[in-house]
Amino acid sequence: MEYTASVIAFALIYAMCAISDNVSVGYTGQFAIAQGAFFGIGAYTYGIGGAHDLSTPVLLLLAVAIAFAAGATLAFVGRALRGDYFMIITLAFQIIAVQVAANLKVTGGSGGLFGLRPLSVFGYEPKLYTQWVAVLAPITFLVWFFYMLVTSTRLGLVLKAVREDDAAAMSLGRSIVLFKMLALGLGAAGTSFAGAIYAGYITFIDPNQFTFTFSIFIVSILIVGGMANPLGPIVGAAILTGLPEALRLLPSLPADMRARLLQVIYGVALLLIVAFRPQGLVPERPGRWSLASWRWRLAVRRERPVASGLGSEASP
Amino acid sequence: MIQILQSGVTDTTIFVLLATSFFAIFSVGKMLHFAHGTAYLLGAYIGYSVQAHAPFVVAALCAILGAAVFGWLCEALIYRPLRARGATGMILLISSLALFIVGENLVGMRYGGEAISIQSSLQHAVVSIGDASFSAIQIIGVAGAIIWVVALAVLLRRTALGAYMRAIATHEPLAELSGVPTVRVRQAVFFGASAAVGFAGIVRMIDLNGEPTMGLTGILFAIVPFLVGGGRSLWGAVVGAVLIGFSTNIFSWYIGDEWTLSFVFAVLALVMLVRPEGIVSGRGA
Repeated sequence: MEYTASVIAFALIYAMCAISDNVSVGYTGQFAIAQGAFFGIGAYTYGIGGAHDLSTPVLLLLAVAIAFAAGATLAFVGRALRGDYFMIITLAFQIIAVQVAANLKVTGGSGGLFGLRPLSVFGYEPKLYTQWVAVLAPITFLVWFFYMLVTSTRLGLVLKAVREDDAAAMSLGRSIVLFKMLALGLGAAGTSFAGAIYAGYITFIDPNQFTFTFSIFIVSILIVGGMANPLGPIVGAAILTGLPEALRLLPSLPADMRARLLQVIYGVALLLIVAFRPQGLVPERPGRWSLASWRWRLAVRRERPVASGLGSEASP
Repeated sequence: MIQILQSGVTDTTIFVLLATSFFAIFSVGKMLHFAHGTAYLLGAYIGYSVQAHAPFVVAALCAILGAAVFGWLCEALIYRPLRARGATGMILLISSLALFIVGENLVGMRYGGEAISIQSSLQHAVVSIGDASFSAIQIIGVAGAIIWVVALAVLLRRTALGAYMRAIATHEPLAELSGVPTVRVRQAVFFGASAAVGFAGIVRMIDLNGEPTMGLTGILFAIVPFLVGGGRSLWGAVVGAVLIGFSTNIFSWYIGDEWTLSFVFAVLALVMLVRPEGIVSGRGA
């Protein structure tokens, strides 16, 4: 029971990352692989700020704000770059972030920070894993609900418009750069929030936990689960966090070998997904989960003229 | 200064091989072949395994051939079927990342995560210029890189295959309509370009060392010089590689090794912001 709970706790934290990165990677099509860096920003904010006796809400707010600024800045730097080039810029940020964490004094260098203050929620400090799940589940739900709301309004449609054809979206009078900054900022903020929670859960952080591998893991969750819909990240997180447990059935392997075997399995799973189900297990379904498109559909039903195929301009 | 030249030679050689072969693949594949770093990694580790039982020439041939076959298989078994189904660049990139992860971790499982190196008589100094001395493997590396770049330049300008490559780079649908065998050209380019990084891999393994994470640094040092050089011409990639190769060595000489990658990416971000078309503005392949 406790063991299962510990697995679920991790799944919830990863799900929070994937849910928020869905906004940038899924809806807006920004292929960012800096999730590890954003997650680390949250974790280190919690760790360093906690050592300075800041209260938990302040720490969480700081984590969100710093990551939002970092994400928005990154989107601004890469504003003119298309898919693959943009990925390189985010990868650059990821690698620089890890080097910074591994070389500064305040982050504890490559040794990291330990003995962090455990997370307390309104004064309640979970001790058992089951208690952790009881705390993390509602938090994850709130994060999910927030991002569901954000993407089900017209903003979600505008972001998809940016993804599909930014020239067309621009011609409708949308500032592409601002929306790209907003999307990556939102994605980074949620990941950083999850990172702060993670630091309060695990109470020990070092740069190795926030590398390229972590970024790829979160992106894999999105690809396997399915992007640009609110359920995909949860399905993906459940599967990719549950997968290692299946490995426990194998004869005992050394920890290092197990970790590597797991990565190989993730890689093969990704290849199978892109070959046979590139839309992910839960495919994107335009219209579902979208307030704006409901309004649009109502508008169509009332036989009002529809100006464009993008939908975002349909209702007055 | 002369020591920096000495320590920068191998890096520069390897970066030139990585960036120019990446350029060749990018121009006909139109994709970010992330697993190019894996071909480099395989070259190093195949070289390591064979070198234990056989002379250098055999080891180098095995490394080159192994990497080449890997690159060819990536294109023939993974990318081509995906392209045939109309996969976007993003899907190709994801599959390439997946190949990369699988490759790095299989090598890690077989050889362990620590850096490994080999003893070889090629590491002895053979040529001295002033205070600096260059080992046989460094000379072999430089010679190999020069031969590769010249061969690629001649190939692009003087042969039918080169004309096909330039045609695909410029306008693929038109090239296909004109009867350019795009599938075979791509496979040939993946094969040849991967062979070049297989050679880079064994040179690095003998001169310095090898570790499973070298695939990642390999692909980064293929992409960054390629982008800094403008991403559109062979000579841009060469200039970018030489620039990055020596500037990183100067940087780590004065500042320290731990910040080198940050420095490289800062350079890239700067170039991207100030001059997105790269420092060498060439046209076509």
